[in-house]
This record gives sequence, C-alpha cells and structure tokens, in this order.
Amino acid sequence: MYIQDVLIDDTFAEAFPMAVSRLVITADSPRLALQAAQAATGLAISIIGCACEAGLNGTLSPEQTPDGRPGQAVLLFSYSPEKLEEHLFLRIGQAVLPSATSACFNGLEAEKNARVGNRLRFFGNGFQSSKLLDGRRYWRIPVADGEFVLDESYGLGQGLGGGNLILLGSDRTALLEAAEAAAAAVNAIPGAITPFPGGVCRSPSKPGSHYKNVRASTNEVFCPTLRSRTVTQLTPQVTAAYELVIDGLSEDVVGRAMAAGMRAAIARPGVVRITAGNYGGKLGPYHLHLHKLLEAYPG
Amino acid sequence: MRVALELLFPGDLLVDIGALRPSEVLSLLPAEIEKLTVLVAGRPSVLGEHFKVEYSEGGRDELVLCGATRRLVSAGRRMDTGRLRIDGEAGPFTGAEMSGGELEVFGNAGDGLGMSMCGGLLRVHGSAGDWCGAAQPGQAKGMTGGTLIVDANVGVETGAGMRRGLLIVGGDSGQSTGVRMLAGTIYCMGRLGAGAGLEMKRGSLVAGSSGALLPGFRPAGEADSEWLLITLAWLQRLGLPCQQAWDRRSPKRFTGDHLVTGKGEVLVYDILE
Repeated sequence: MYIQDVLIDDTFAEAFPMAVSRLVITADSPRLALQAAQAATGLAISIIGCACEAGLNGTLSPEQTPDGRPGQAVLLFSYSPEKLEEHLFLRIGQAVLPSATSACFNGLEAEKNARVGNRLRFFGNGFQSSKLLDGRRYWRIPVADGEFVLDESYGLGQGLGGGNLILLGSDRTALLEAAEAAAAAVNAIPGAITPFPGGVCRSPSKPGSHYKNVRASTNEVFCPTLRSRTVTQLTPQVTAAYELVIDGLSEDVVGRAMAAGMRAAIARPGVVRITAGNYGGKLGPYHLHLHKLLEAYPG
Repeated sequence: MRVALELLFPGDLLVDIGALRPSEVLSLLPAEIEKLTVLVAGRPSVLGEHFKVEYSEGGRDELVLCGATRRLVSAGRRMDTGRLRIDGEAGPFTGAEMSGGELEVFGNAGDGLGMSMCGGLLRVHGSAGDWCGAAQPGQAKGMTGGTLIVDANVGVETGAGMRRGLLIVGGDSGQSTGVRMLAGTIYCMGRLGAGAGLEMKRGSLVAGSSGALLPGFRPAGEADSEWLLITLAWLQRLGLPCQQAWDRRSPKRFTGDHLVTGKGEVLVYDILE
C-alpha cells in the first residue's frame, strides 16, 4: 500500500501483555511536577535491559489532580506485576520522594494493587502518619520542605507492550524529524507512551546474539553500514531507519497510537517506507496489522 | 422502595427506635412493619400504635422518619447498610454505633450523634448537640471509622476518644473538641472551642480559627497542605461549603498533646488572640 509515495508494508507489529501502572505526580508548579516525573521515568527505556518501560503520559491541570496542584501523568510497564511493584517502590522512593514539593498518587484503578506507600512509609522513621479518605489511604512522610504525600496502593493493570513502527528514509535529518513528529502524535494519544529517548529508537534489536549470554543484539537488517555484508531490509535509496516502540493501556490504545504515528510520519518529507517488527507471530498474542490500523483509525 | 414512618401523637415521651434497621424494615410488608416493637418511655410497644406507615414502590430504597422526630431516640443505631433519612430534628444517639449505610438528617440533631460509629456516612444538615462522634459513657474509644458531617455547629466533647474516621463540622465546635483523641481527623470550619485536643495521642484537628491552645501544644511551623487539599476537594464534591481561603493558605501547625505522646496535631488557619 502506498500513501503519498510512502510504502506501507503489509505486515504487523507483534505485541504482548505487560503489567502497567499509572502515577499522578503533582508539585507546586508544572515545572517541578515535570521534573519529578522525568526523574521517575529515568532509565526505563527497554524491557530488555531495564525491566521497565516508562514515559510521560500528559500534563494535568489542577482540576485533574487529587490535591488541586499541577501534575504529570506517568505510565510504567514491566513484564510482571511483581517486577513492576519493585520498580514503583524504587522510582517513587528514589525519584519522586526527593523531588521538591512533590506528591505521588495512584492513577489507575485495577483489581490488583501494589502497596507501595505501605512500604515507603518506613522512611518516616516513626514520624509518618496516614489519612483514610473515602476508602483511600494516604501516607504522609515528613521531609525537609514539608510532607511527602503518597497513596498507600497503586493499581497494577494489564497493558500492552511491543507496539512498534519502523520508519525508513532517504535522508537522515528529514527522517528524524518525521520520526519525532510521529512520536509526538503517539504521545498525544491518552494511555500511550514511547519509552525511548525522544520517543525514537535508533537501535532496533532482535532477540539473541552471536555471543553467548547476550539476550539481544543489533538488528543488522536495518543497519545501513551493513547492507553490503548481510541480508538487508534497506533498498538502495534508504539511508537510515528509526523505530518507535509503543506501549499502551490496551490494544485499542496502541493501535490508535500506531495509526496516528504513521499518519504523522507520512505527512513529513523523508519517509519512503513504514514497516513493523514482529517475530513471525510466535511471541505475542496481539498482531497489529499496519493496513488494518489505518483503516480502523482514519485520521 | 420507600417506607415512611410518621410519628403521630404529640407529647414529650421519648420513643426508642434503636432496634429498627433500615434494610430490615424495607424488606417487610406494611402490616409486618406495624407489628415491630419500639420502646416508648422505656416500655415495649407496637410500632403501629405510634407511627403511620406509608409504603411506596419505586425510587430510591430508603427508610424515612418524619413527624415529631425530635422525640425519636437512637434512630439508625447499629445500622450497617441501607439508607435512613430523617425529615426534621433528630433525637439523641442518632446513628450511634452505625457501621455502614447512609443516614441523613434534614434538621438539627441531639446529643450523642454518631457515638462510637465505626462506618458509613452520617450527615446532618443543621447543628448537633454534645458528644458528637464521641465515646459512649464508660468507653475509651469514640468513632472508629466512617464519616460524620455536621453542616453547622456542634456541642462539647465532639470526637472525644476518636480512634479513626473523619468528622467534619461546618461551623463552630464546643469546648474540649477532640479530647483524648487516639487518631482520626476532625475538621472544624469555624472556631474551635476552648480546651481542644486535651490528652490527644494522635490524629489531626483542623480548624478555621481558635483561641490560644492548651499549654501541651507546641508550634511546629506551617503545615504542608496537600492532604488538606485532597480532603477539601472531596468535601466540595459532597456539597459542603468550604472556606475558599483554605485553598490558598497553609495553616499553622501545633503538635501535642505533649502531656501524653505529642504525636497529634492541631492545624489552625487563624489564631485569635
């Protein structure tokens, strides 16, 4: 399929279920809330090495937050609820708690919960206290600029990881601009994130390696400098490829985000082809076909 | 389904209806309801001799008490589910020991409102008497859960011995509010009565204004107000008018009572000299 001279491959992205949590981080100003949220999503790029993928999921107005202050929503994904709970404990405790004026609330109602606040309260060294309001318990931990308020429990839902788009272009600079525009379009979809830096990944990987004990390695079929040495996906006109990895709260969200990403990329010069990564349908139960997504989610 | 019980006869005799549970009454037919037992001046009597029973299908499931409701004692005592509405003034011990459900009074309430309640929502669209949410005579623990809201003023020893829960007073509170509190939260939007928080071990007392606090309370700067903002937002959703200025200010914080543990706190927006 061609759209505006861009070839859309008849292929699919292979996605799989992941545990997901949503945090609402607030602070005295939007800048401070963003700062705390960025800290909470640090080094949560790829499930392969970080065991967690995270990203900002929108700016919240004071009317949208529990304490009426400016906020940022954050989505965190991991391969199991247990691993995600571990990351919530570390990231709220080590990134949000030390951030000036911050507070951290649960932003996802789910059947399963991680009692992170119930563990973090011990930082209060006996001076902590709690408040139960409308069936929801908040912990107050004394800190040097006042109190750090956090929820006792955070919802552990089931989301979707592994949505992806691979953009191939004839000009690296133009392709990068298109990829960044696509990432912005993905991040504008509520409940979807792109965990890689700036939303763009320049190192698509494949499972396994030439070396023992290396779980993933560079996907040579997309590397322009290897086109003379390996089987390649790159036609002569292609000089670079960028991948967008997309996680979301549901299959619908990820599909909608992929469609929005494709349309944003097509609208920019520099993209000659869009494809997606999969493992032959053997790894994940969700198959997000590019053509079907463009039909299902018209712009 | 709606069942209305109207107390018919004038007089001063108190009618104790503490044995009536709203959910149980709603499950009965009108003839069965009339055969229930109430205590009139301490003596067992048939409900139908004192109340007119109205039964209507449809609408919200609720038991409504109307007529000379001021004479009703222990309305909603130990209720655990369902909804009870009192159209008029509520007598003493309304909602005492309630553990669930919703009780709403469209008028003032007498003494002992929500005494030792442990769950549910009790709201009074008026003022309440003494010992609101407090411990029952001879007991140490007052409220141990639930939410008690009084739109206007309350009397003395409100929340005495409170262990858990949320008690909100839209107006002023009488003397010794939160005395011997063990935990929980009391909001007094107006002026806090004298002697508040005496011997409180834990918990929070939040007040719009107060005179000088007891010597057992020490200044501890300004309170971080995030959890207050959360509560105020929730109160506004319940339709309780909150002082707008509370949104933008941090109250002064005092810890105490240092005669006991000193782990409690009193937060006051304006200290009146």
